Amino acid sequence: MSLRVAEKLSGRFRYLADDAPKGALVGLVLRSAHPHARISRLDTRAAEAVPGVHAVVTTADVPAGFRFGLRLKDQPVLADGVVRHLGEAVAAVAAETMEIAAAALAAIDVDYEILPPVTDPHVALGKEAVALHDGGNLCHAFDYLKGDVAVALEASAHTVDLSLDTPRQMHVALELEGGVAIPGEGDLVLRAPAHDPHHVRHVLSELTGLEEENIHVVGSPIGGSYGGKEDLHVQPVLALLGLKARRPVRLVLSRPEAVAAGIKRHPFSIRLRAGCNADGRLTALDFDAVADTGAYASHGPEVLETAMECAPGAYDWPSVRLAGRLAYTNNGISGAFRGFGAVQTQSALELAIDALADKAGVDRIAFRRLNLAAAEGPGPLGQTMVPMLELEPLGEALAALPAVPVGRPDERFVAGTGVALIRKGEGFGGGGPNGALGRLALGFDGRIRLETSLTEMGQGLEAAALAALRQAFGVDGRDVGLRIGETAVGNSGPTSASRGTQIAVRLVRKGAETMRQALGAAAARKLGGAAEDYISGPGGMFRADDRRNRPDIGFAALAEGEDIAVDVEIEPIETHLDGLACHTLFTACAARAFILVDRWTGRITCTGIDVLPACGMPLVPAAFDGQMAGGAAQALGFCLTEDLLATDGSFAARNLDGYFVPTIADMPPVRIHPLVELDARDPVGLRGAGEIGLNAVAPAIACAVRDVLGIPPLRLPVDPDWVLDVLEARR
Amino acid sequence: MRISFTLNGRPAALEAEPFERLAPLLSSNFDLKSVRTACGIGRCGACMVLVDGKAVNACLLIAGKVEGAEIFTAEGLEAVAAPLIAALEAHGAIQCGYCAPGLLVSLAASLLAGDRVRAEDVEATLTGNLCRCTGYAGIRAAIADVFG
Repeated sequence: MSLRVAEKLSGRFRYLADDAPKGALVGLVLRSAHPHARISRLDTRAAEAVPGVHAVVTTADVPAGFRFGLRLKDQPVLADGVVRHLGEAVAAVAAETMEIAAAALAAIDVDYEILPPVTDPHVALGKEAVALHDGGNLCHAFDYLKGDVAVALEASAHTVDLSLDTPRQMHVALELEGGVAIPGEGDLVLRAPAHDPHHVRHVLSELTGLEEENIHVVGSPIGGSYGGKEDLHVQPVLALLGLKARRPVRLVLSRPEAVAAGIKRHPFSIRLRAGCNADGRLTALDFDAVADTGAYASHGPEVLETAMECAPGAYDWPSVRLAGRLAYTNNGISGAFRGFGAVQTQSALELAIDALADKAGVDRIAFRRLNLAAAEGPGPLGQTMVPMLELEPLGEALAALPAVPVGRPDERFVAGTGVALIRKGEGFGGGGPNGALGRLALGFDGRIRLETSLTEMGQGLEAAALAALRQAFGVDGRDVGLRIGETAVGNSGPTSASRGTQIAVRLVRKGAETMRQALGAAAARKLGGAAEDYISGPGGMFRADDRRNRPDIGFAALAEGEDIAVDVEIEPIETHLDGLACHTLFTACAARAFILVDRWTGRITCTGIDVLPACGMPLVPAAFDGQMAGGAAQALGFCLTEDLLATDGSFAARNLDGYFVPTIADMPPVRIHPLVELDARDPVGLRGAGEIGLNAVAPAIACAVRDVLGIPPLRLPVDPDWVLDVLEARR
Repeated sequence: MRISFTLNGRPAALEAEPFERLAPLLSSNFDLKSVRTACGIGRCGACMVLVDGKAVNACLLIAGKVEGAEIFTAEGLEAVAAPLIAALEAHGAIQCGYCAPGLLVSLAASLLAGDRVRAEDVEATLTGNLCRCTGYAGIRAAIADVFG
């Protein structure tokens, strides 16, 4: 649920790249047609000479050796002698019209010396592989060991071996990456969708040499992201073009450019061995994962860490070995995507849990409940954590879900059910930007507003923050407001890792008491008496002892001549383990999925999904439900339809044909059963809803496939031909 | 060539080659931001407009085909589609909103088609409107309200 629904439906709502100042130039990017090549010559003189061209930029316009990234900085703004993925930006132009810009691009002379692409992440990590970066192709490694896994597996009554390859899922936000740069005298305004405007500003400052205070970044609203716009996308090139042309520039990618060059979900290749005792108690988990980050790190190291932290699931394992490797290849770029590495490892683990339950002869839900991790911790890597009492109630709720008719099993269709019970860290692992600054202020328009740099991308942050403001001050919708998503307000950190709405609501709640006092004090100054004589209510301040139906002073009158504002800071709750970034705060969720497998075609239809999120009491129920249903749709795509296959570094699809985003016809009813009680001692009081539904639904669908076929899928999305082979072999 | 049609109830004309695609012409000539080219190949539905009562992908339609046609974009449908907008809002059916105008055009085509349209038929007309945010749950609930 979002605000301004009528404006969005009627096209009156404006996204950041919709409008540009009069006379703005058109930006276009020249992209590599090769996944791996050395640039032996790059000549832009002819392009610069095209009438109507105001700027051409290449790596020569970038400070020597400049690299950017979310944490690990390894990405050039424009190819610096080498291209490492198809569609990598090599040069860019700003011109008076699209036609002139296209002509200028065509006039840029590039000679490529084609190099063999490194496309298999396992091969990339071998000794023989060509190194794509100075430090080799191992972008990041994660290792964790508890106990003697080999001995424990040997002694286990039952063991399962499982492998799973997961898809290069594409975000497919309907809004393409784009933006507008507006250079001034010694300053720059940059409007483009961003999860963290302050981070964008910092990078642009380092790139352009402008001081941060002379750069203003607007990153909200966003027409869909799901993590795909967390990296800087067009901002660096736009800044270079705008400053060089000294004119505003608008640059919006085409869908083929976004498919080729945009961020994707990391494909994971997982192998695991897991065991349990005769009575169904888990014994040991041996878990290896290799992930493909493509040409640059993006959020890859953090994705790998979250993936491996979630690999043991919500369960107690006496011994665990986790080994994750993140490889550089020439397969595009992978980065943040809702579910963040965890959905890959959770899918594999939940399949293994079902296999062990079946071997032990224990009901699959009962098996999960038998093995749940302790509520008080330690966490999956042995870390201290905020206690979570939600796992057992979720197991109980899962067991108590009513049976649902699963369609009509007949000679053609065969039905199956899958369940999953997962937890995932919220916010960032230890050392990440978990803190947040914000401000509550009474504006001259008479609205109490929250100021935060967090951004709205459809997740309902604005609606939740406004609801929190109304609650905190006992006021109406007309008394509250927001200023969000830009660098003119305090740094609230990234809107990612399911933290955005949670942080916005906590900023309101944390500052509310001080703000109420400030409002009372202002009322006392204007009307006499003491601060505590006044309380806020609809329209303004009321005398606490004589509450009439009209305020004694309206908020706009109260604001006159006053500066009523409270700075708020949220400090991170963090655990640090030597050498491991791990989470302190976890969110739990369970899910159930029903499928029908078509024996004739091998196609799988999902016929119903239940989601049981444990996020506390939703502030805006429709927005909360929307997050769950939206996550379920992306989980369905992950399991059944979506994969951007790569061959020799080139993707099989160039646009949205050949890549199957679920439509309304693919989506079953999604029933949401929220667990609204969190532990009374919980220091946060709520959990983000952005990712957790996706994280639970994907393994549930994967487990439903195993339920029908008797063996776990080897890769996701499930290939109908593989389904037919399995059905044939079983006959 | 000069191409004349009615646009959101008013006479309109533009200069274009007959084989130019309608979507960018509408958005640039008339500042109609609802007509969004998000794939350009008729897969996503973000550019949908009503042409003589039918919802079509304006990114595929060539300008020469709309001579004399009656075209509505989402901007021109706000009044007639008011019950749809209210239902979509009530059910939290819109998140980021980028697909929303195309969705409204598709739904308006059903609304304008008359009383006989059933909810499941309306759903079937939406398979050309990708929404990546919502999982379509709120959209479905809104359809049930308006067409059920």
